[in-house]
Amino acid sequence: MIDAAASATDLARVIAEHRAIVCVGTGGVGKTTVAAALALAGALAGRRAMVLTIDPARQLARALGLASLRRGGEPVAATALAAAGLTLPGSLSAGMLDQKGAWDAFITRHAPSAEIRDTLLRNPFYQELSTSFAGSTEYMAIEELCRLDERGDHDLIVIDTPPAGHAVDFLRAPERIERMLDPEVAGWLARPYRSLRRGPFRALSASVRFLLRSVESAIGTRTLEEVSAFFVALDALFGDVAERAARARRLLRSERTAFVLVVGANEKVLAGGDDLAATMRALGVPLRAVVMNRVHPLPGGDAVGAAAVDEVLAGLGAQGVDAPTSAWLRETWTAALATARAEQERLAAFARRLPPGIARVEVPELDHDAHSLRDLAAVAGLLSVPQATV
Amino acid sequence: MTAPKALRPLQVVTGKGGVGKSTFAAALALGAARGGRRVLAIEMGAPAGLAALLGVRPAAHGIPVPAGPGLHLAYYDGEAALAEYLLRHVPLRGLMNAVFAHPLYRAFVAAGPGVRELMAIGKVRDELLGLSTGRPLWDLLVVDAGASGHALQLLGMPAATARTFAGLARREARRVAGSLADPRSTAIHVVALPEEMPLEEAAEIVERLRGELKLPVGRIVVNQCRAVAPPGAGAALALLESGGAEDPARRGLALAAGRALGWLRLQEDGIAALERRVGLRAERLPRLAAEPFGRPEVERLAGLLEETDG
Repeated sequence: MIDAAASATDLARVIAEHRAIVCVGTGGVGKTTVAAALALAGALAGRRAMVLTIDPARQLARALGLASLRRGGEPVAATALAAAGLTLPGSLSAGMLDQKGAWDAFITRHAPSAEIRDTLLRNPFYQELSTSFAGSTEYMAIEELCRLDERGDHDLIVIDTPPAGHAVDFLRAPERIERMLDPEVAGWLARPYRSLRRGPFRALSASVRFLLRSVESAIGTRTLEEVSAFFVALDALFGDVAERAARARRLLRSERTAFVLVVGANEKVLAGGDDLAATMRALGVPLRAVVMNRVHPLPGGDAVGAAAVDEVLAGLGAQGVDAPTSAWLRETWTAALATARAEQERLAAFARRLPPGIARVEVPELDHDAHSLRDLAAVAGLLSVPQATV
Repeated sequence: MTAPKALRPLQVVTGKGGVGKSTFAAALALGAARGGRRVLAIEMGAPAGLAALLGVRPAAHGIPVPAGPGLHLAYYDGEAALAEYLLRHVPLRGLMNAVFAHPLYRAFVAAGPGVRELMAIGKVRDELLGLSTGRPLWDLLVVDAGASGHALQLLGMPAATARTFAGLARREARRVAGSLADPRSTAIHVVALPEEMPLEEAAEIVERLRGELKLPVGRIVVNQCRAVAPPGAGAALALLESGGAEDPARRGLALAAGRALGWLRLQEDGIAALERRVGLRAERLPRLAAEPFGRPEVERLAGLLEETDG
């Protein structure tokens, strides 16, 4: 077991005291399940909670008893809650980010006229940008978080992030959008392409002129014209968009936002966790808690030795259990014990590498995939128990 | 040595995050090299899982480093591949370096939609055909395409950009899309874990490859499979649970056996459902308890792999 640092806050308080919780972690650690369980824990504690996932998998929808996750979110059905024996003092909604839809809604909200809106929505460069720009999903997730925050229908918003290396993209998304909207850069791109060729084009530096020509031949004129047209139309939104990006960046660093890192107990995942924690420190975003997910329990506890196990197996032998089965039982127990001990060591070492003051919770491995509301409630219970030690 | 079986020259590996894609890719590359082929294993983006598993680290984009007999490892970075591509068309390095450093280039071209993905995949094709060296250097390329969400975007990019780009890039995109979609040259393998949701997601990936992306599906590989329990295991577990709950050794045995049997059932049901749904046989790789998991474990898995395109 890991001793909690003297200053450790517990996860129950993280859930109770924050407006937004961002779950980060590498792929395959059960981040989506933890995000949903955190929201459910909030709802069980009386908060109006919402969980938003950008993971395209349907896991969360199924766990929450929703056929599909709608954009903007949908309350979890009372019948599903009742079937799982849950009574929520608060409320629970779930939603999935539809990247393209979120961009379109964003443009529609901020375009000063129908004409500019339509120009943008029809622009091929915009259509590519809104579906496949690296970091565009991430940015829209943060934008959606800001929007939900402003709308005020929920007082706890838990957001799931894309896996693996993309978690870092998520943290950097507002900066990337702001950089793209750099007035100097945008100014060039917004200049109508035709006039770039003539008058003002001559005034540009040789490298820009050269770039435009080489890019033109390599990628094609049409694309540059589209990009230019896109930025001309976007120009009308610049103030707004830049303001939104700055706001998103502030929200990610605000006291009202908590980051929760989800890890599993294997070396590779924990190394990824180290990287993420370091990136968060460098970017100044507040890591408040670590959830160590799917930790294997010690079979029978610490005190059980091989001799005691052999004694039980001898008894089973007398009751007719054959030798191959007995050997299998022994191997299974030995493997489970070795796994549990190794995980405890790795998690303890990982915890020592974390800065102080971060809540840590272990969630034991269930004996099946967590995919029902009951499973989520079990995880939520583990997450929200106040911990003296974790 | 007998001549190695002809495998499709472009072997691409994908799957959900955390299922062991890189492990399978590394084992596939090692196994193929042992079979006498000249193999290049490729990571997209930066050195990561493959480099760690093979125990070598390429120092720069596109420069293969030896990783064993017949095996090299390289990583391809999209932005560097784009710079190479542009330099081929405008071979003036000094001037182009100024261009590459320019904020306009950085803001749009390097970060622009699809360009980097297209160029990284395009480089894989160039390498396969030996375009930069004049002759093909490799019998087989094994590409670790990363987690499915990103990998499918990467693999779909040439076809998508062939529709939206113009000029040279469109021609490039068309050529790359053509190679990727050709079942004579490409096999895209999908890796999963023996649990309910990862297996379902593997089926979804196969359906997307066959459906909207129209790309050739290769092998379905289920990593970390548990060995089948002896027939008496269920009855023995019932005996364990029928009495002596206060004995921690008995409780420990029951817990370990109960979980093992539970996961085994999910594994068998899940694999059967996947095979029914996609109409392909799933190959099983055993769970190795080793941690850290490294090159010796990959070498072991490589010895267990079949030589097939699926």
